[in-house]
Amino acid sequence: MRPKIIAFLVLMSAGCDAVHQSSPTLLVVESYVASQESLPVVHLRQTRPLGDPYVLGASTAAAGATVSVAMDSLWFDYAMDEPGVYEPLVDHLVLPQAELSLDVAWQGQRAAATTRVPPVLTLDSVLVVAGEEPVSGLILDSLFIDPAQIDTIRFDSLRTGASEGFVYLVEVTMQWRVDYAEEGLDGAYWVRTQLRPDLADRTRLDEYFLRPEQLLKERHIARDAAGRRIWTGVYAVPVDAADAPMPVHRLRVALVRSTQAYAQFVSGSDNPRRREPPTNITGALGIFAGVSVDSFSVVVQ
Amino acid sequence: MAPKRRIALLCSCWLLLVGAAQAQQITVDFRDVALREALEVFSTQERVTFIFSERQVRDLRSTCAYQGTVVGDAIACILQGTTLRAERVRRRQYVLSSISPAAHVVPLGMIRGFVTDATSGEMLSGANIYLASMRLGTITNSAGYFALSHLPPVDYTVRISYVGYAAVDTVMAAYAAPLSHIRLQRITIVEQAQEVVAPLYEPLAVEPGVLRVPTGILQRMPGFPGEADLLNALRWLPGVQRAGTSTSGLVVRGSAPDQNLYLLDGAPVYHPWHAFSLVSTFQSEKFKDVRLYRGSFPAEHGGRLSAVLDAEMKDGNREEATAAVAVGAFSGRFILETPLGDHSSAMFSVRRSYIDGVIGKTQPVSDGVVVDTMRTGYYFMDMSGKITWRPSNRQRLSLSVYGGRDVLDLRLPFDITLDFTSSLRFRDWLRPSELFFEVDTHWGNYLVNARYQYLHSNQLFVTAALYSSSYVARESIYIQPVVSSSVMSRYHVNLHDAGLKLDVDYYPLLTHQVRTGLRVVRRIFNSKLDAEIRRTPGSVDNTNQESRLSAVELVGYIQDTWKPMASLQVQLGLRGSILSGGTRLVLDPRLGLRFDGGTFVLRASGGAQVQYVHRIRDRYSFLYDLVSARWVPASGSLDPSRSINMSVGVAAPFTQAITWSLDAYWHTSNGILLPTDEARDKDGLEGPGIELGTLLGQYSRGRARAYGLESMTRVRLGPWLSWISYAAGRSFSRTPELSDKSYRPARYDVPQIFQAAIMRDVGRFTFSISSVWRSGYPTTVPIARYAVGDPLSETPTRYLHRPRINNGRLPAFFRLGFQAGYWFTVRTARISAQVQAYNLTNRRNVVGREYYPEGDGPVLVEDRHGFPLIPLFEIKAEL
Repeated sequence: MRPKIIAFLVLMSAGCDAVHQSSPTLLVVESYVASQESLPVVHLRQTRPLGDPYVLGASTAAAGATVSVAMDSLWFDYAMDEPGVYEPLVDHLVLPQAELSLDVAWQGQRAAATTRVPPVLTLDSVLVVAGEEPVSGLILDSLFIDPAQIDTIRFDSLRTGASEGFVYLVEVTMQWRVDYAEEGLDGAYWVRTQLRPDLADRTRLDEYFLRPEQLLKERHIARDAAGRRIWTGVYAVPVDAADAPMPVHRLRVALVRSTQAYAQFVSGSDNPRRREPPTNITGALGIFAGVSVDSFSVVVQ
Repeated sequence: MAPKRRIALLCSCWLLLVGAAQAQQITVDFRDVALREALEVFSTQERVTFIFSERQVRDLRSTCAYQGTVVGDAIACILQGTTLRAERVRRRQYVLSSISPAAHVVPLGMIRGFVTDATSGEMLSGANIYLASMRLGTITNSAGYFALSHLPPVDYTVRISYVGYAAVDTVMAAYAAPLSHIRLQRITIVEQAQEVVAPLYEPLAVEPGVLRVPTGILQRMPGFPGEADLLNALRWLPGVQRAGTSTSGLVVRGSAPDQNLYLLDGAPVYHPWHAFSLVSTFQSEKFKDVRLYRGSFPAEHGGRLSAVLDAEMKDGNREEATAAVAVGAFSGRFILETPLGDHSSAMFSVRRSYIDGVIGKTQPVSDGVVVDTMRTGYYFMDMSGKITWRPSNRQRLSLSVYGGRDVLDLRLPFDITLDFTSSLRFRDWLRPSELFFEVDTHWGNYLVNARYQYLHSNQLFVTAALYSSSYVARESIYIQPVVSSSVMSRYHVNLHDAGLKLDVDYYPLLTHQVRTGLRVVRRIFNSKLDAEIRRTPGSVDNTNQESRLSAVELVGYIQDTWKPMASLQVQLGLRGSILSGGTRLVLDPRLGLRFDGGTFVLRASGGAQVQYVHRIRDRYSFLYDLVSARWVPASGSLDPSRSINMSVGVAAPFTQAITWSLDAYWHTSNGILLPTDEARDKDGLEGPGIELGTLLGQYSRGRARAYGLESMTRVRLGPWLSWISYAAGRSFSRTPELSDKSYRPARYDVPQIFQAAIMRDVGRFTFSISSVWRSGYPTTVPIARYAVGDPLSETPTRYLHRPRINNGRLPAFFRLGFQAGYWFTVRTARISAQVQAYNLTNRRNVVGREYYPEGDGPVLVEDRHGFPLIPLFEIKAEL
């Protein structure tokens, strides 16, 4: 009898599967260092279980942390100003290409990260060209069905989530100068471009077929005749009818130069339902990255 | 332990064993006793077996006094003064033969011949030939030929058996060595239930690791979409499952689908699926023999890490013309077999789906102003043909052709919603639109294989084959999301194998059967992408890329099937291979053991495998690599995948009604390609392109391992036939390049699978009920939520923390199926009708789970479900 029991236990244990789905509360760090500006603000939050609400503020802030930032071997202490928001006790200007280190201690967890600050970036010109009249366009919530999930196609509807309407297409070209040597590792910066119209109605058409934003290696971006980097993006402005005028709206054109850590963070944050961005912080989630940001707002009419 | 001490210990053990053997004293003392009686006494005393005919020993007497330790000397003493001598066949097994008065040399004989299907004349590959008196056997080769050489020249009682056929007992004379033709009669499931020796599938397989399933049984296996489909039916075997619930490739013992090799008449098929892997290209009615090698393969097979499916098409009925026509829920098919004169036969089959015929390939639509034509065409079809010519008993030439393709041709507006309540006509749901998408996608396999088989001498059988196999896919997409914007993409994949195979079977001795061979194959891997994304008339991006790769693989192997004892068979093999382009020579040893304990059989196998091709796909863009199977060869910078497989098992009949088998396996592999970012899915317009370097950048070298137990029980109770299988196992993978410190559950890790099926035929009715229960597939479960901001966004974005891939599991999967059929005859035609209920309980199995981190409240979870209850049917007429 005993061998049979042992055999049964062996069989069952082979089929057992250990699942670890609980997690201690983890520290989340968010801090962006910009050149020619003051030492960065450090946001500290904490993770929450899936079943709990997640309201930004005191309930998700990581209070009581010890935070310090080093620049060129000089350490600066921080103190919490608002829940989860830590600011330096002493003001200090961050210079381009500076190396910064972050050290955080919170509830027995220790987080550390380093980053380099990219050269200052300045938008040289922005050209906005809107279509003269609206064109038929797809108003899209979700379109594509993953072939690997064909099992799950519903039989009562193709449920493409698409409907037809009218859109104005707006083409935006931005140019900027590069004032540093783009050769070697030091020159391997990334650029993120973004067109952000302030519209009541948006369509995911932008993301699929147009180009409201892009992430590129800066040295792979085309140059114009004057040697400036040049990038063109397109976004859509939905309207109700074929003869409707384009709504007057504010457009924010933004450009970020960054290190690879931020580029990886952006690349990994495009689908929060499926994936999370990689962290460059040892001992915590989040991001500590040097960036150089320039933006420009314009009213489009 | 030091080497010298280890050697000394081994020597001591050997001396002890030798000493023990030498200590066995043999004493013989016969005075004028009948020789037969003397042999029987000696046989009992010394546990020696003699093989002789009654005629040989009649009237002979023996007088002998011997004291010593040598069995041979004792037997010579017993036989002295007679006209007989004893020849040792194997350990403790002797055959008596007459001494030639002239030369005192005994000529040895052999038993040889072909085994065929009595009805169709098909050669049966893998039939068992068993000499009960010697407890010795062999199997037929791919041409149905067998040979047992170096046999003492006497008569032997021989049993010939084959799964799905009635066994035949006959007497064959080794001294004359005629070329025998054994004809086996196919039997029904009911007859099999009454047949004591015919197993449902072969637990006592001679070749370790192989599963053979008669195609007649496979056709009865229930499965989606209710049609005779070989690969769908194979998942009823332990350790075999579909990757999806009813779609995607086969998973064998937890390995990835691209680690299986599919052979059609010995030539590879890269993508053996139709209809997005819903049905396979292997239509079971056209095959005469199907073998599935799991884990450990004989040396003749290789090139994949996990499994080899070797399916042999029918040669065509040699006796009379037969035809079958069938219509199922999705497709219709026709198969014809006919003799072509006295020496030739042919088989031809065709199958095509008809959904496009029902809803129409084109849909003329109009809104009163604009007239347009929408397209809704999809079909799959395949055609197979084989012609076999037998100019003599010793030669056979066959030409096999296969072509199968899928065509998806769509032009549809985006805002389509099926509304069954307003109309059942598809075109009523459509209207002209300036915004539409077009898909024109073709993919398929094309194969030509010429094979020549030649019985050069009684001991030498040669098979040579020349084949060409290609996989071609073309994906064309045109999307017009805005009147002034468009997306156009043309993607083309072409894989082509041209190969030469040479196999030689050599039967030098009774206890040895040697198989050796050579393969040369040239592989071409071409792909091309032309894409244009027009965002506005002034903003146009073009992508034009092409990849052309080729490689030559050279393989040689040798394998000896050695039967040192009546109860033991050892299969030793070595396979050497090399690929052009910088890889090194790889030697893969193979070992198979089979021990027959009388009431049970123990089997073990082990071996190493190498896979020179990797399957990859772009994981970013939905413009290409949607349906194509793209493979790339190993090279100096991309190592081939390697694996080691081992398995041990036991099979035993508990009673005449119950047969049980249990197998344990272990498998490890390295050099496999795993996605660098498992969560990355095709959800963008632009991707990094099709160049090999950029595609490989999406993958990392990984390792995998798997282990488990598989149990299979077959029960025959009167007219009931049932089988129950249970498999418990785990499979893990790891990516050291990504600093994975420990193994994680692999994508298709299923700890437990339980399957059961019951069949019964009652007169003209046939019934079967089947069920499958298995653990859910692994899934990556987030364990926490957090928020991080960005310099370009005003509010932080909420993310889900997923520290480990596949840390959770979907709910268990269960499905019940029912099948009922009725058959009748109209003149010479046999008509059968069958209905099937797929997922009889309409259980909504969870096949995916989505998590939504947005919002302040708890994380929302939404499940995706598998197919509901689907009624299916099939009507078939056999002429």
